[in-house]
Amino acid sequence: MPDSPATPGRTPDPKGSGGGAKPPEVDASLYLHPQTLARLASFELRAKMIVEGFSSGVHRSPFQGFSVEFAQHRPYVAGDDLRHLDWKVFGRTDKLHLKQYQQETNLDLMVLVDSSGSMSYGSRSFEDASGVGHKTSVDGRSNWSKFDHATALAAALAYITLRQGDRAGLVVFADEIRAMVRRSSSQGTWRQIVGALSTHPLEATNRTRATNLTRVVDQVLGKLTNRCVVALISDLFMDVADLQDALGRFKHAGHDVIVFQVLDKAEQEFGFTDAAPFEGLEGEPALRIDPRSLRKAYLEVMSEHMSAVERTIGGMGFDYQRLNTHDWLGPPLAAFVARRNTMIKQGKHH
Amino acid sequence: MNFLNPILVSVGLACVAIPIIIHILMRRRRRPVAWGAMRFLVEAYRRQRRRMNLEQLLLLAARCLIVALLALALGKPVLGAAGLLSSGGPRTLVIVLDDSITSQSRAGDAPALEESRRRALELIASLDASRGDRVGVITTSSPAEAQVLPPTADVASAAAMVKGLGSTDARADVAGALSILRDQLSRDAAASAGTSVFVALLGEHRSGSVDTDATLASLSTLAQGGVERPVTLVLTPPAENALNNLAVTGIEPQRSVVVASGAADAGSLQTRVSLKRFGPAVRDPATSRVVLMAAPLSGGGAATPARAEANVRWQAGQETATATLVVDLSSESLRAPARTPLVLTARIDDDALAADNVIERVVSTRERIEVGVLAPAGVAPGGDIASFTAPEWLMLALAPDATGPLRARTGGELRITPLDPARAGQSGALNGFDALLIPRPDQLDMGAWRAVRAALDAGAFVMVSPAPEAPPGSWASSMQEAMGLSIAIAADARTPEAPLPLSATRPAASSIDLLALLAPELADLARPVVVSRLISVTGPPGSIEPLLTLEDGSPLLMTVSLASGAASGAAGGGGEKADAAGASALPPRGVLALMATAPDLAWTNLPTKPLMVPLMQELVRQGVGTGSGPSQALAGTMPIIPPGATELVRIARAGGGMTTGLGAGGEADAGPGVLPLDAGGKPRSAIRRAGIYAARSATGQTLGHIAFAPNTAGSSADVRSRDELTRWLAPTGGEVVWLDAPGAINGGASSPAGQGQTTQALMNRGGATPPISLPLLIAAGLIALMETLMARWFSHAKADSFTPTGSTAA
Repeated sequence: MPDSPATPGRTPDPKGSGGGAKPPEVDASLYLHPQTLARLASFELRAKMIVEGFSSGVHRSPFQGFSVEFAQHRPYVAGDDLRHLDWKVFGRTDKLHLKQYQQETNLDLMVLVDSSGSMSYGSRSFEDASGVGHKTSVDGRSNWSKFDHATALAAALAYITLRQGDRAGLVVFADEIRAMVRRSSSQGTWRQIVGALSTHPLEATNRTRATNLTRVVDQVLGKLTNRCVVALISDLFMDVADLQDALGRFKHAGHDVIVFQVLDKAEQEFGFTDAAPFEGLEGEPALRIDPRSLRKAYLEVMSEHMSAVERTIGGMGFDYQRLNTHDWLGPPLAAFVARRNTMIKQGKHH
Repeated sequence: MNFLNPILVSVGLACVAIPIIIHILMRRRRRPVAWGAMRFLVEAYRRQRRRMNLEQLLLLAARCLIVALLALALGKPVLGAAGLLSSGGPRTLVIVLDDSITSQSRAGDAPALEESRRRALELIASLDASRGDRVGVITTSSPAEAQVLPPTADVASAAAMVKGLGSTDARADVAGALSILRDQLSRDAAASAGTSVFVALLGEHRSGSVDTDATLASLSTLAQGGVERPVTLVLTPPAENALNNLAVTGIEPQRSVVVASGAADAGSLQTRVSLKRFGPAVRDPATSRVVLMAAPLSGGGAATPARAEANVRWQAGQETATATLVVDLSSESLRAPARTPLVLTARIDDDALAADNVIERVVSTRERIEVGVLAPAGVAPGGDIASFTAPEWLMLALAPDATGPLRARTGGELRITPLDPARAGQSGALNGFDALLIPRPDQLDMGAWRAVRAALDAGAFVMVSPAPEAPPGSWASSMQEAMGLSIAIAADARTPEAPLPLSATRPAASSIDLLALLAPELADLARPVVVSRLISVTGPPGSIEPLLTLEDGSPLLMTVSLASGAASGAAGGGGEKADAAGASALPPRGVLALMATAPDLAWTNLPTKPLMVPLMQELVRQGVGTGSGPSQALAGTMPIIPPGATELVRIARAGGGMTTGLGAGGEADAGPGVLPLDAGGKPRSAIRRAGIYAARSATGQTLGHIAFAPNTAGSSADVRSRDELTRWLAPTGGEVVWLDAPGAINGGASSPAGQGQTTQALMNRGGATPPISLPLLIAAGLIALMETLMARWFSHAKADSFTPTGSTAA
């Protein structure tokens, strides 16, 4: 697929819908910074796993099925679907063989965006992060929250996916699914996704909700009928056991998962100097502390958690990428995509 | 622990609450931070909670401690071991104030004392009680007395005491004052260790108040116990101009007892007034006027005082002079109240020192003098003088012109009563007699001798002469033992080879000159007298004072000193013992005279010679006057007080008397009117002011009068140079600093011995005390540093701290 760098200042339209009126509340430029798209457009988003799809695309499915391109024969074993028997071979050789085809599939992308309370934290100014001169968000916030960062990433992923002609879907969740856009490759999908992302964090009810990933995964799996790539975008402020449980279910269902952990710089460095009460965003009681005296212990706890998260995800065979809200979204995402492509190509040779 | 600034300490300690209050307020006012990664923070907090609480407590404690230390530093604690915490330390100021007679001298309008008081108040005002300063006051008028000792922190009351100080008529006793000071400071050496001691000698330091012969106590002994304390002697600059002063140094009436019913010539009293000049004017001839007045002591204002006046002409260079004046006592107003003492007042014109311009003397008046002659009855007088016995010669001499029986004559002023020696020991037998003559000592037993001794103690005149009938050994020991005499009388009378003539020259001056009036004619009267037999009297030096001697030098008539309290049993010859006993009691008032020969023709031709009558008359009259008459003393010295007296009452008199003193208000006359006496008969406080005091018994009876005269040893108003004073004070070991008038910080030419200083500069010597305790301040600083380090360590602060630009605070 040829590169088509987006022109700065223009609102990119992945499908080139051609002059459809945009809802005023949706400003895609907030989530797809031109600089981000300029980096991403040169890469194809390839899945590590080739999933089944309804529409043809550049992705190859590892599963043999009813398709146009013959792959090979193999001996029948008890239990094989008789529909796949190659009767012609049986007639000639009196042996039972199955016909296997190399099928090209679509890449279904399901983006899961965490909108729990902790995601609303952000220490970066909105103006600095958005890159388009907006001083406040649509809802009046002046800080660039982790959720903002997550939605930008989600939009980017969806945009690239849709641009390849693949299907993309969205789930916004906290303790349960708060919003969902069904997978589709239709023209309005991206608009729907962006609309869902831009409206949901404004809901006050999300502010104090904690993540309940297991429950959400159960709900999501109930809606996924075929295998797809799941992009989980969250700060992962949850028990590692819950994360392992949830990811295990995806793995069990055969989905590929890419985990994006979005963290704020302040959360990673904890550089506060003044004693102040710290109030939790998910309903935790306020804690009156001197941050300097607690910094070391906090960083230790934080480090332990991250290590455990990384270990858990790596153990599942999934990909993991940590994002910092103070960094541009582009570079880490581009590096991620590049690494994915490398892995897919390597996988093809195996 | 004491504090120099207790209020600051209280306020400061209350400020310890400030960190706590700040802590509480900051908890309330902190803007909350909305935080996403709360679960990690809670976990971190859970892990660090105990350590953090401990750290916070440590920090809070350190901050409170800093405030507390600052408060203590402001309060300047004085710890027991002497304010080691406050550099500079408290000061002890002892004011040695010259309130002697010299301090009444006036170079200008005000007496010197006023300037001294002003200086003293200025020094006291410069003290700071809150700093631990203390002040003591000693007055130098003899005997020096501690007015405020031990030094007190009550500066105000000390100042009030100084304000109320007046001059006395006693001379200065700086040595005594420094001795008191040394004793006091040695006593509280431990308590006042570390304090700076300032001894302020305030006065004009004129010759009268500076006794350069006296050895001053060394104040360097204050370094006892290893505590070295600087003693600084602060002196007012000495007076620069010598003053001319004329002082009345003495008044000696011819008789101290005036017999009112005497002959016509007794109506006048001859009095000798001694004068002394001081100052530069001694070099010049001058004339001084002396006025002598006589008035009844208690006659009120009605009596017109008898008055006499004389001029004294001074030769150039003459320092002392004597004026003899005669006052006429014949006035009815003077004689009316019988037995009322007369007051003789000698006065000169006012000069620079007024206190010594007047002197007073009390003269007793009597109807007659009662003389008892202890001789056995039944000795009938014969017509021939050859048969006259010693008692009869005595009686004849005492009443030569009287008529009637020889043995009971009332010869004018003298009434002679024969007494039976055997009854003399009976209670009260000798009461009421002014004089006792004992020509037959062999007739007296021990009881009688004790009674005689009691009469002596009461002031009677006693004359003992040997009895021709018995050897001295038969009575001498009894007399010595009963009367406590330290003399020795040979057991037998001696008979010289040839009769010894009486010496025409009087012996060297004795303390009791009973024969002063005879002196001009003694040469003529003594010539015909010879002594053919006499007793030998010896005694320790000072126990015998001869009045008349023979040619060979042996005493014929002598006074014998009496040890005090000897009648209570001191053995004869125990002179030292008696002296030791006498140290605790007053000596007897009476006079004991001993004649070495018997007034008997077998022993001497004295009874038939012209000397006999005046000799006996003078002996009795002067003896009585000396013993029982009014006594006199110098202001500030111990007077002889009649036995039995319990108090001395100052007699205030409207006219005459000591009205000079300190001029305005008659300050010198103010003061205690009644001075109680202690069990030993001594005044509880010394009498330092001139005037007349009545000695009274517990029943209110007046036992006698004592005239206190100004001590003219302090009359010299000459100046002493700074060098002289510095040398004089050298034995004290203290550093001498001159206290010159404000504005004269540099003493210049007038202060060769050192630079003068202002009061304030002087009292702040040794370094001004900082208003804060430096060691505590340093401690507070160290803890503050420690707190900073602790806070930094606890917070694990790093230089690359990241400051979030915003938050999601709701």
